[in-house]
Order: sequence, then C-alpha cells, then structure tokens
Amino acid sequence: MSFELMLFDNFLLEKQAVSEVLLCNKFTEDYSLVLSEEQALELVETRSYSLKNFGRIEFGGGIIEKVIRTFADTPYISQYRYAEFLNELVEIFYYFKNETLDLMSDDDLINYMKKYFDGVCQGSLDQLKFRELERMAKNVRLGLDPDYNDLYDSEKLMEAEDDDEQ
Amino acid sequence: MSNSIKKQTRIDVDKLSGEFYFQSLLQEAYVKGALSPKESERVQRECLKLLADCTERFTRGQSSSVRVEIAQGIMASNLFTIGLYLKSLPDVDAVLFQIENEPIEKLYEYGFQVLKRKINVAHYFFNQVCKTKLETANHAYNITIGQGFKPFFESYEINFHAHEIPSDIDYQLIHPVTDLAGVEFVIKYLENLYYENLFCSYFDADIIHEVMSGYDPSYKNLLDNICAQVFQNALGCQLLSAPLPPLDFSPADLNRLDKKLRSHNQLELQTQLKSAAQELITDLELTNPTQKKYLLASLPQITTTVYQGLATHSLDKVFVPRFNPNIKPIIHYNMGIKMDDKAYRELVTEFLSCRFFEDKLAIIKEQIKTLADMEDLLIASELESAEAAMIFALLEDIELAVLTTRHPLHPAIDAIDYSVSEVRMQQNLDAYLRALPRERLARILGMTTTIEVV
Repeated sequence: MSFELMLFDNFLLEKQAVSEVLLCNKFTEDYSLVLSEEQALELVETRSYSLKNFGRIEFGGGIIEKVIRTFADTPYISQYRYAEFLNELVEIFYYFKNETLDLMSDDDLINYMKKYFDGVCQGSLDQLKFRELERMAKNVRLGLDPDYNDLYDSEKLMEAEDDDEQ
Repeated sequence: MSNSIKKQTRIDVDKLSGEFYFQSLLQEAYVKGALSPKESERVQRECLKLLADCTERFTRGQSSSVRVEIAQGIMASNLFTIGLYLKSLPDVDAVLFQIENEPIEKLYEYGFQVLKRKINVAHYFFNQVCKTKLETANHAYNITIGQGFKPFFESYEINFHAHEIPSDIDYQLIHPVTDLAGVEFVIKYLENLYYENLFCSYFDADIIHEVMSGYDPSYKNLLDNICAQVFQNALGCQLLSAPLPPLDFSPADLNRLDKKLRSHNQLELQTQLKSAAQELITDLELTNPTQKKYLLASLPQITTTVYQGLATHSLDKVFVPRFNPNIKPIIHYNMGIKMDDKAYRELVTEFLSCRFFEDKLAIIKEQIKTLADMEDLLIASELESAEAAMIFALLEDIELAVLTTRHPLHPAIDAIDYSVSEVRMQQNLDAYLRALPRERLARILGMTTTIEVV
C-alpha cells in the first residue's frame, strides 16, 4: 500500500477545513477582518501547496485557525490585503517549521512570528521572513535562545565602550 | 517426501512478504477479491486515523504537521506492528476475518502486545547466544555478540520505529536473515547464531581456531562464518569415517576424499554429503529438530563448494587441514657468510661481462659458496627468466624454500617496496616454481611454513 494511497479523500478534508476557516470570521469581525469563501478556499489550497512544497504532512484542522486568531489584533493589517497576508503567513510558518527542525511547537512559532511582526519588523513580512525568523531558526538549530541576537550584543558593547571613553 | 494437507485459500501465502506482511496481504486480498473495495477503503481510512493519532503522540500534541519522512516511518512502524499480530494467527482466513471484523486500532493494540512479548524472546535468545559463545579470535563474531546488539536492547523504539533494526551486526551467518524487519529480524538472527554456536560447542575452541587458521591465517579479520567451515570439515571427516574431534586432513586423507568423490556428479555428491550429515547428526547426538534442519539446509551450498573444489583440484580449500599459527619453525637455515665486498664487486663485474651463459654458470659453480652470495648475485645480475631458471635448477629444495620465504612474489601494489631487480628476481623465482612438478612444489611450499632463516 503506497503512502499516497492514504490521502484519498483530500476533497472532503479541504471542505471541512474551509468551513473551519470561515468560522473564524465571527472572531475577526471585531477587528474588521473577514474572509470570503473563495479566499478561505485559496488559503486552504495554499496550506496544501506549502505542505507539499516543504515535504510535510498535516492531520486535523491545521494551523490556519491559530494564525488567524493570533494575528487578528495586529495593527499592521487591514481588510484590503488580509487574504494575501494570511497566505504568506501560512507559507512562512511551514517553511520555518522545517528550518527549526521541528524543535519548536506550533504555538511557540506562531507567537514568535507575531512578536517580531508587531515589534522590530513593524508589519514587514519581508523583514519577518528574511531577517528575524532566519536568525531565530539559526539560534534554535544551534541550541541558543530564539531571541538571541549577536548584533544587539555588539551594539551594546559599542555603547558600553563609548560610555567608558566619555 | 511428506505430503502435508494444505488448506485452500484464495490468497497465495507464498506471495506474502515477511517484511511488509500487512501491506502485501492487503494488496493480495484486494487483487484476489478476498477484500471488497469498500472494506479496503475502510482499512485505509482507519490506518490514516491511526497514523494521525500516533503522529499526535509523536509530537506530544505540540505540532499539527510533521515531515513526510517521519509520517512514513510512523506508518511503516504501525503496519509492521499490525503485521506481527496477524502473523501470529493460524491461517490467512483467520487473518482476513480479523481485518474485516476488528478496527485497525484494535489490531494495532494486539500487535503491540505481541511486539512486547517478542522483545522478551529476543532477550532469551541473546542470553542463549552469550551462554554458548565461542572462544574465538574472530573480531566480527566477538564484536557482534559483545556490542552489536546493545543499541537494539537499549534503544529499540517500539512506538514509532518498530520496523527498524538499531544494531551493528557484522558477523555473517550460514543462512543470512532476509525478508524480516525489526524485532523479528533480531530474533531470527540470534536464533540462527545460537544453533551455530550449539554445533560448534561440540568441538574444542583450539581445534576450531586451528581449522579457521587453516582456512585463512588472518581469519580473525574476516567476515566469514566459522560454523560453516567447522561443519564442512566435520562432513569431510565423516566421509572418511575418521574420528571427528581432530577435524584435520593429511594430504593422504585429501587424496582419499578426492578419489572417493571425484566420480560423482553434483546430485550424487549431494546425496553422499546428506548421508554423511545424517551420520554426523547421529554421532553428535543432535536432538534439536530446528538445528538439524538449519544444518541440513546448508548442504546444497556445501555441495557446490565441494564440486568446485574437485573440479579445480583445490579440495584442501574445502576440507582445510588444521594449521597452528603458534608453532615455531622447526628448521633453522643459515644463509652463510657473505664474501668480501671487494671480491663480490669483482665477481659481479666478471659475471656481467661474460658473453656466454655457460661461463656465468662456471663462475657460480666455482666462486659462490653460500646462499647469501647467491641471493645477492641473482638480484644484481638481472637475469632473463630462462637464465634464472638454469641457476635455480642448481639449487636444492631447501634452498629454493629459503629463497621463496625471503622473496615471495608480491602483487603490483607492493612492488613499490622493492627495487626493480628484486621484483625481477621474485618473478623469475615464481615462474620457475610454477614450472616444477606438483609434488616437488608442494614439498617446497611445505618447507616454507616450517623454515626460519637465521
């Protein structure tokens, strides 16, 4: 029995996932963020594509719901680019699941994403993906604290040296 | 030949894989119509659910996704565990009944219980192997028993990697274990090794050491099986009706064996070996039926080896004479005192300036008094093989043996260690020895093992 054979009722799973995503609208309506059925389907397809692309397999509801709920209160997103933004976040999430060698739980990764996105990245997905999360993944792989940043350390060192000189 | 009554089923049991039992059974049942498409779909769906549950346990609920390789590993482990339970059922009909009437999750639970019991069986056989372990210098054997199974007993992961074999097994058995995985592989390997140990335990460790040294003096570094050679030698003794324990063959014994077996074709040879094996089993009072079956199953392979040995006149490589590597040489040969350097230089100059070979021979006969000088001259003069052969013909067997001991022909890879003149001399000597009658060559080679050059 090939492993692919097991994934026979993909259509049913996707349908169920779409309705779960749409249920999140009730929660995000308070922040003026809503997804249409078409956008929800696109998001689920992005998830499937990302999973396949990054060589992963997911059971159950997946992380879309968690991403939507966590990022609902971010000040840097509006209804205008909401669907596109979620698609990118889902893709980033699976990419960094691999990059952190599965050493980080789903909740922790999403929380770090939110923290950096709202914090130092100030709403820039590029900075989140190419700078902060890359650094964090490297730290995790090296067994360091995910927040560790040698750049900040050297800045602090330089500041300390300046203080000494004065 | 006994005809056993076999229950007829739609599924061909011989087509089922031992390693991927459950998968092959489902496939075969589906193809033969023993399992309906609907049932097959249900099984797949339940397998998927089981995988989802196991993956959640694997990630401790902290990750909803895993890499595909991990999921595949968990799935293989689950199917292996289910297969263990299904294999324990009496026949394929019972297996199909269970698949149709029990949820896959339940079958997995039953399989898990079987798996735990099987680990105890593996422990049992490992203890038996340790108890019957041979005293041998063979590195692969010692390290396989001493350390090879440690990873298995310490880190065999039955929840998610039950189909894997975390062990370092180097030692090769007479019958290699194939088509099994996980704990089943380990049990089968240890069981086979136990039967081999039991057989070898009928013979003294020193005797086995000498038999294996006769097979190859550096057998301790080889990955070859010990029991196979001991069994082969025991069969040879049985064919000669010789007493068993020495497991040794003199040249006369090998001649007798050659005469006895040469006239047989391969089939007759197998019959002879089979009856010898039966007698051997009776003489040694082997009672374990599985052990008997295990030994007898190696006869076709041994028959081919003996047949090849007869065809290539190398029966001494099949029924190997014992060799004790610790025996000190019994002949001490003195090469003699070398002549004065000045005199030697003059001799060589004169030798090389001779136009006719007869003159060279005359110089050797008149002026060379010791083998040490002869060796130097043979190297320095860089003779053609025909000329060298004529000089070698002047030497006694013992002198040729000494030269062979000091100048064995090395393969090209070692040639770098020798000068061109030395390599030429070695090649000439080798060519001369090959041209000698077999008896004389055997006598000279025999001397090389007992000679020590002073």
